[in-house]
Amino acid sequence: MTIFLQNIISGLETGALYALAALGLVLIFRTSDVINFAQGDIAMFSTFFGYRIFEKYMSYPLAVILALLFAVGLGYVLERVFLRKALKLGIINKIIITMGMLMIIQGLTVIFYGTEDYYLRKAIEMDNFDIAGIIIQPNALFIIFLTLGIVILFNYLLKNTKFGISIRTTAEDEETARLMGIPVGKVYSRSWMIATALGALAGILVAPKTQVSISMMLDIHLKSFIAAVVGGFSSFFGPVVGGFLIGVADNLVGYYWSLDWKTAIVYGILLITLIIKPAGIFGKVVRKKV
Amino acid sequence: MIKIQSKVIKTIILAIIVIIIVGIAPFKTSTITILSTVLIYGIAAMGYNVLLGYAGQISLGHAAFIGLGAYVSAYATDVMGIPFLFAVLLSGIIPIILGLILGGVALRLEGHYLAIATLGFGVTVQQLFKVLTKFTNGFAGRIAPSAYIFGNKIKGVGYLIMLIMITTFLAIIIENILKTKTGRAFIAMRDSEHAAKAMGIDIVKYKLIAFSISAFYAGIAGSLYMHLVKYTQPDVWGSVLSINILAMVVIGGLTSVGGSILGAAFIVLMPHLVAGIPYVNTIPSASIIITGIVIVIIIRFMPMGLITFVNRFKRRVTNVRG
Amino acid sequence: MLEVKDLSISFGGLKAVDQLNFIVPEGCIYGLIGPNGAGKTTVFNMISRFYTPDEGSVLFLENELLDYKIHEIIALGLVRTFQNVEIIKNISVMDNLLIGLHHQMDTNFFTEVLGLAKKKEKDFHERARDILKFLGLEDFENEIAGAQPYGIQKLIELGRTLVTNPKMIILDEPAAGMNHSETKSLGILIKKINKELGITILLVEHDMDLVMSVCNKITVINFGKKIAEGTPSEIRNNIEVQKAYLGGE
Repeated sequence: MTIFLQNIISGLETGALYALAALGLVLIFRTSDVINFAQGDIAMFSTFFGYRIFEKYMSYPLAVILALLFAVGLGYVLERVFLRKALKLGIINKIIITMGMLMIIQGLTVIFYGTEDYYLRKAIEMDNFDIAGIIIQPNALFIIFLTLGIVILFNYLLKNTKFGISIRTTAEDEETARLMGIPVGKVYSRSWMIATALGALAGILVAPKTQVSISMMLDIHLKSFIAAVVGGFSSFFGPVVGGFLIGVADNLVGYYWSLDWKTAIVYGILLITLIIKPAGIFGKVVRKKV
Repeated sequence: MIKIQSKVIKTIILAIIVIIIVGIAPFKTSTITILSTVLIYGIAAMGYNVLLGYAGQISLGHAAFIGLGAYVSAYATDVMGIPFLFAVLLSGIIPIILGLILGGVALRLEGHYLAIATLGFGVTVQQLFKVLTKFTNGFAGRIAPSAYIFGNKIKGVGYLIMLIMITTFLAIIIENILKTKTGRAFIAMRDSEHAAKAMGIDIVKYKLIAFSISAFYAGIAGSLYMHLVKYTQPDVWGSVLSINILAMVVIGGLTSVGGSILGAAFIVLMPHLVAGIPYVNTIPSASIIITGIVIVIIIRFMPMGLITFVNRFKRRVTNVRG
Repeated sequence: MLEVKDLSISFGGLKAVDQLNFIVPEGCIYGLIGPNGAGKTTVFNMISRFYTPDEGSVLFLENELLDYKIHEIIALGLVRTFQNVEIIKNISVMDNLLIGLHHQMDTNFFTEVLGLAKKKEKDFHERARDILKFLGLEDFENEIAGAQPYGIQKLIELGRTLVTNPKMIILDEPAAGMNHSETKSLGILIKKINKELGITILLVEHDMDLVMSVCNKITVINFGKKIAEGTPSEIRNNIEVQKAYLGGE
């Protein structure tokens, strides 16, 4: 039982990171109508930046803040340069553009930071404690509650601020948003900026496990897509729930079933969702007009 | 100048000319290998072009099919002793099964969902390559013997000439398919699924055909790669390769068979070109950055790909001849 | 030729079409009209099998259409156009018409692979050319479809339906986006298709002038229910119809 609970907590920890990344993904998707396949690499680039700051100034909080700012700036630039002019292009073309972006960012990371792996410390470096036989890592709890906090904050933002409402309106129906005088361009850039910041945060938090490396975001990247699909692209908090679910499922399957096959099994979950309820657990079905 | 009508005849003559050049010219071994690699990727790209360019199915895990072809070929020749040419054919056929599975999944998906499903598919299959060590040898790596045709070892220039013949043959087949009913059905399906259905096009059938063709070509490419390089391990068959195949087709020209080979040449040759440019060659990741930039530029400004330059040049040349 | 019986469908609890009945006789030009939101397009989509009704049946030449999938309808001789003119924009006019011939091409995959389908391709090209001539589009054969003006694009789509040798064509608001003179030409063309090619026509339309001048018989629906059926002059004088159009809009 204790091991089971430990796995759950572990699952929630990785799930939190999936949730953050998935939230960013869906935010960009619902406003700019594109799946940002470069998300993981943007996060990775930002994490490298953060690592360098940490290395130089030995201050973790400073590194995190600057890394997030870096991500925000990067998100703004990428959206303006690559996607803004490409809005009218079809889905396939937009996806291909994000792939091009991905390549450029990977290349830039290598130029600035080389190909070595680096170790970045955990956010909370405290000893584990023991509750009724369950070993709990403070860092894990921190990540989980931080994510929940961000999600709650985001939810508040969406419902109660002018900006949040403009996001929701643009996501619902862009034409109407424009007609209502909502600065859709600003909504795009800000969505990207938030999304890349969320990705960078996930990167920084996962770095202790994966090392700061070129391939560090691969797992989160892929799982964030699955989380978004399972949770449902048409809602903002579906993917968050999806992220936690996938994190826990991934851990439980890996522990109780098979480490080797866990990727295949989690992918199987994705496929089953796509077949049974393609709109995701919380998604709404949109009937196509003929 | 004799006016040659049939495109097939023209292609074959071009191939013969290339074979003669390759046979006579004193190319270095490294050049031969590079050219061989271009053709191998070109074959995979031609198949992928059918899927992405013609049928409009965005598939981000295509490396899985090429890898499967490679492993099937290695296993068939090394472990089962199947003759080379049969093994190549088998390497094309078995991935079709995988292609039908992915195609089946693709039936209900479009756009972003399809992209995500295929991305996961590619990752999963690569994971299977790592895990199914009885078949693939996992990280220890799989070896394959050299190619033998009727007892003669085929390597170096001979292998390249064989590749030229196979590529030409496969290119002609693809052209034949795409210029007729099936090709038009793909395009209709891609651009307007409603109209396609109303005109009697069975979308299920054609999606499965598109996935099958692309899987077949990918498998053959994988097999030919395997017997050129003679060693592989699972890391090769991941997202990087899938993205490169996508890049080849996009850069060369979606819906152009010649474009696929051009795109393959671009991706394969570019790192070598970069190595020759003074300042740029000190940047370790210059190739990938340039590829990324080129992709974005092509999609934004020249969606028909680099092949438009070739076509314009051809037109100018034939106009001069009058 | 076409018999719609008790056709009904609901969307999310709202009944969009309610027990609709009408018969389109062979050789007729039949109109289906009604105010905005009356359910015309929904009926249209049910007949062409893009939607599946909750109740009722659609008989075409004794075939129960509800037993068929969308892409199987064309083989029965029934073909449709789209309000959004869904031609394939990046290919030539000829290729667009050849897509219409898809279901008649019985070349199989392997003959194509071996390049043996060339002769049959030529025959199909000829057939398409005949239709282009009928529509006055011979000069446009190799032009890119998407580059043509809207009116020509509509003709291309019409051409695509004509090459299929249909027994009946259903037109989805063909006059949409057309001005007065274009609509008049369209009316003449519809009559020509009906008379010279012997094709039955079902017209779902908003433009009253076109409907009145071209149709032999009309059914009017509102809120998914039939409110009147008859000849153009009967419909013009029908009080219920007048109320529906004046009241609803």
